[in-house]
Amino acid sequence: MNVFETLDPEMTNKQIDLFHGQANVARYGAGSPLMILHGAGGPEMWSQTVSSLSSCFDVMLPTHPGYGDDGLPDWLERVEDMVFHYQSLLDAMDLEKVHLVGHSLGGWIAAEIAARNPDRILSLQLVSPAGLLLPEEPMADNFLWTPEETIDHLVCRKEVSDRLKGIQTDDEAAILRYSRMVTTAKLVWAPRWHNPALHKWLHRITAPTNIVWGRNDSFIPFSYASEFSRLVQGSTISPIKNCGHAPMLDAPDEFTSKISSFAKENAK
Amino acid sequence: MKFYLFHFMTYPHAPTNFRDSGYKSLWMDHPNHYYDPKKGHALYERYLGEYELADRLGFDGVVLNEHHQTPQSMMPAPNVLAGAVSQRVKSGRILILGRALPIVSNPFSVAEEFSMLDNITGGRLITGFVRGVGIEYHGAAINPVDSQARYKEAHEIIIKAWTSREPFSYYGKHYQFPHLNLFPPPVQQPHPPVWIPSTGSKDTIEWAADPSRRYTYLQFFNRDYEGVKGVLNTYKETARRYGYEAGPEQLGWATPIYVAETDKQARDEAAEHIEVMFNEYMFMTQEMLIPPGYLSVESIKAVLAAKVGLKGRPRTKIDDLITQRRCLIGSPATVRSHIEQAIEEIGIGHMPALLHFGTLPQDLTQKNIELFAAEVMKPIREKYGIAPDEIRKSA
Repeated sequence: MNVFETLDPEMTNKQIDLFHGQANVARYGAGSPLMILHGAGGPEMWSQTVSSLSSCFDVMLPTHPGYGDDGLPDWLERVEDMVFHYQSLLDAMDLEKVHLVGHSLGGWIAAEIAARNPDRILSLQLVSPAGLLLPEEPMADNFLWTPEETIDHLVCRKEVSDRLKGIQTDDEAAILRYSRMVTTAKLVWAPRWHNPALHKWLHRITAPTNIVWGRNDSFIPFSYASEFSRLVQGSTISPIKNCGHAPMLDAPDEFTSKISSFAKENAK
Repeated sequence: MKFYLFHFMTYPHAPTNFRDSGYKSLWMDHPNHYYDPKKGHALYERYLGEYELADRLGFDGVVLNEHHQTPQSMMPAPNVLAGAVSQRVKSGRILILGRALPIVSNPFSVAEEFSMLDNITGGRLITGFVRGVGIEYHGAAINPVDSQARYKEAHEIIIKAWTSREPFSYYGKHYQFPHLNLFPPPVQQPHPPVWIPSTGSKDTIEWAADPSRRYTYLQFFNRDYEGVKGVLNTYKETARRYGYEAGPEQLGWATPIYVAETDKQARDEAAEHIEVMFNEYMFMTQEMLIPPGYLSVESIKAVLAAKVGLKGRPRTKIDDLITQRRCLIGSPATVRSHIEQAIEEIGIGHMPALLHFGTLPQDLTQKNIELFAAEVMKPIREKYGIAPDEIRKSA
């Protein structure tokens, strides 16, 4: 049981063995391959978007190593390990080229993959991605937030916030939440939420890139969208009004529509 | 049985209504603009005077500790303060309980500082190693997930630095140093004593009691008397499993103590000051206290089972502290009887007594120290035939 949504039972979940460890991938739909890299809150909040995309795409939603029931694996120590993990996974799944969508931590991973393997990416969508730091406008310290404050920073619409705060959580959910935060802390505590070298290499991304950001993001400010856009050539910014750090929760219809359109425009 | 003056060196003029101003804690969160350097200087003078008083009255030693970014303790750099203390406390031991190892980038410098102090004091130093309170990881920007691993490596480096007479290198996961060559090496052989202050973790007990270490285990006052007894008995059982009998010199209990003429007078004089320490000066949120990875996922299951939620945490009250014997507050006879019970039931050998706490004013602190020395420490020493620490003679 989790705080946000539950994944569609139609999604088939598969465990894939890799040389260094395991991957867990939920898969749904048919068409051009599209992989979603979720954020530190977990994969569950992507249900609606996955459903919508599955009509045109072979949608893959892995649960990141360290975010499932098994906890933090020994080999996972930094975001770079995640990047290599996903490159290995794409190899193992025989996916030469893929549409990549990443949110927050997942957006950081997606940007790094795209910079290192530009030819592998059909289209790139970064949803309020982490990975850069603007020293005059650092991101908020999520590690000090209570569960209620976390919700307040993920969404800004009152009806959404009320609904999320109303979801009953039990000890099992609290343990999963803590376990996920341990993985997140391992990866992003210091340097906090960014790779100091990334800004030097984002120019290597060649895929059409869409940068989606909630205008009211109180975790990673909207101003970061311009910085990502400046560094990724030919990228577009898709702002969402009245929306916080998790557009898939705050503005699900508008968000899904933007992601869907961009992927379809760039489908091959 | 040895007695030490334990002190936090609190800055007692912090805004205790911080919650009304929307701050989560006086630690790290609340701005420091209320600090008055005139008062701060006067407080250091006063507190150093209290250490000197304890030394003159025959305490076996005085205790410093390390806390950052908080008015609860004006000791973010205990080794700096120990330098000042070493010139005022000339007879007894100086204990640093403890240095937070994982939050330093260079543990070798901890070995250096301690070795300097050992030499400056002529071998009167007792050292302590801790992981640091969880909030230190927020403040020092050190990854709490690496806390245990960094602690173990830092400890290894320090012991090696103290005991090696040849240069050496260290290549660990978290610390790598091609050239380590301590100068000067410490006075005490094989190295200064190491104590492990703790809140009661089983893993810490296992590690401290290991026959290769046999570090003195010091239990803090987060537990009541029965809890302290349980933890120290676990240490003794662990030692037995390892194949040896733990002695009193390996068992310590640190607790706030307030002595006055009668039980009621002690309770009334201490109440406001001890309650403000627990409820305001020491308060921090769950997220500050337990950053992710500071405790393992397994340990969190136990924390959840204990069902202590932020909203549900009741205010600490002196009468509960007294009943539970988390603090020893009463007449000399009352306090003596509690300590004697601990000596006889548990076999403790070290008692750092927190004789100043929270906002306790100077006159009451002095009275507490003097009364404790004359009517608790002295009679207990006489009853059990305990001499003060022999190091006091050679000073």
